[in-house]
Amino acid sequence: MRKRLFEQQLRKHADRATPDVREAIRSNPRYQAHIEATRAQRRSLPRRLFGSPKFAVGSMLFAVVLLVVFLAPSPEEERVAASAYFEFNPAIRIDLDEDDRFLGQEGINDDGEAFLDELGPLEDESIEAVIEILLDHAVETGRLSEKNPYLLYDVTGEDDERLDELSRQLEERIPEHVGDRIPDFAMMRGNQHAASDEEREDARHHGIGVMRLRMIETLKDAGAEQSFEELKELSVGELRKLLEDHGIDERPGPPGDMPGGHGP
Amino acid sequence: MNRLDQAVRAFKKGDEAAFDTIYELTRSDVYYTALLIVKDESLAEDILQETYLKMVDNLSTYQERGRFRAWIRTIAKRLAINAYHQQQRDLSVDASQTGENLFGGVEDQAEDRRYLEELFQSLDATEQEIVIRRAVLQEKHRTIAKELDLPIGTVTYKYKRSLEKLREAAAGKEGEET
Repeated sequence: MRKRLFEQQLRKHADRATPDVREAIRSNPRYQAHIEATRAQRRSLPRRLFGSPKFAVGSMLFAVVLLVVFLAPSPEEERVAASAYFEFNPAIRIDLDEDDRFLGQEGINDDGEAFLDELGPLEDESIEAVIEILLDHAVETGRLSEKNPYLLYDVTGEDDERLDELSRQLEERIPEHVGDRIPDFAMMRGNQHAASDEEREDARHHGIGVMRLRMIETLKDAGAEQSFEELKELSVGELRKLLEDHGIDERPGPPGDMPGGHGP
Repeated sequence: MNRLDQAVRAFKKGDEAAFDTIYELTRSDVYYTALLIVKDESLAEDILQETYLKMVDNLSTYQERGRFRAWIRTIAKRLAINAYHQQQRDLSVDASQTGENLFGGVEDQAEDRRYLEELFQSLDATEQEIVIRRAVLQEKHRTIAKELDLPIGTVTYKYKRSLEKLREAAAGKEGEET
């Protein structure tokens, strides 16, 4: 208790010791431009909506359009033909359409969400650019480094032939892009296939992705001495090594599935 | 939604008063993140200002997922790393400004700064960094160990020992004042 109180006091002193540069920020043209732009937006919005004598008809049409938009199935969701999953502690998913064009991204653990937040929107980028942006940021921020040179990945979707081609391209391009910065870079295929909601939630609860969770659970099933918490702290490379030590060369699959199997 | 997220959303919509809340809730995260890298208070102050301006420039790209603090710290970190490299290239830089102590080198200090500077004199550079990271930035021991390339046990021990030293120094100061 005494320690915590002292820490709080220290934090308070440190906070108060931080210089106050608000005035300098506020007088900067960049700050003023933001304020002006948002004010202009606020001013123009009510005028457009309420200033018109045709407001009632307009708002009704607007409501109808909204209703149609919300009731119609999302075209973007329908267009997702394949997903690529990456884990290097942040766990993320990238969705592609049937022509392997980039559709969207999602962080599937807390680190993954933070990682994507740092990048901002990627929507207008090509899939090649998205992969390069992700890798560059992972290297710049030390999430991929000489100490942590492992990237776990998998691709899921319905067309096996296309998935094989996508996987081949990723395995070719990714090491090419980061290999000169991380000489020991190693890319390994995990198994994300048929992940249930329960598995996803379980993995998220532990701050990891499903592929890593499956590696750990396979090791536990194989009688690994380490606790779950200890295994969770290991890198993907170390987990792979342990799996090999236990005679498991294949990719650990969903619970109840044979190792490496893609399930039904 | 917490107070910080609410303020960010309001500021995005043009509520200027929300900027004060954002600043007050994140200034020490930004400042000490920069200070740990550049180890120069006046440069850290410049980075503090530039970080908020970059935040304003890029606010439209920030996706509201309750990760604002991490986001703004990343901006500060990038700016500080750039400034650090510039500092290394700049041969005219005064070596004393990149020395062992995080605090000091700024005249006309506020009372809290002076207090911290005096307390931190009892710690070496690594201990100072561990205390700032753990107590101020509230990083996990594991993260600190990774960043400083130290075993986690060493970080835990050093942190505990540093707090003891700081407590002794604070008690000594109180004794002097009474």
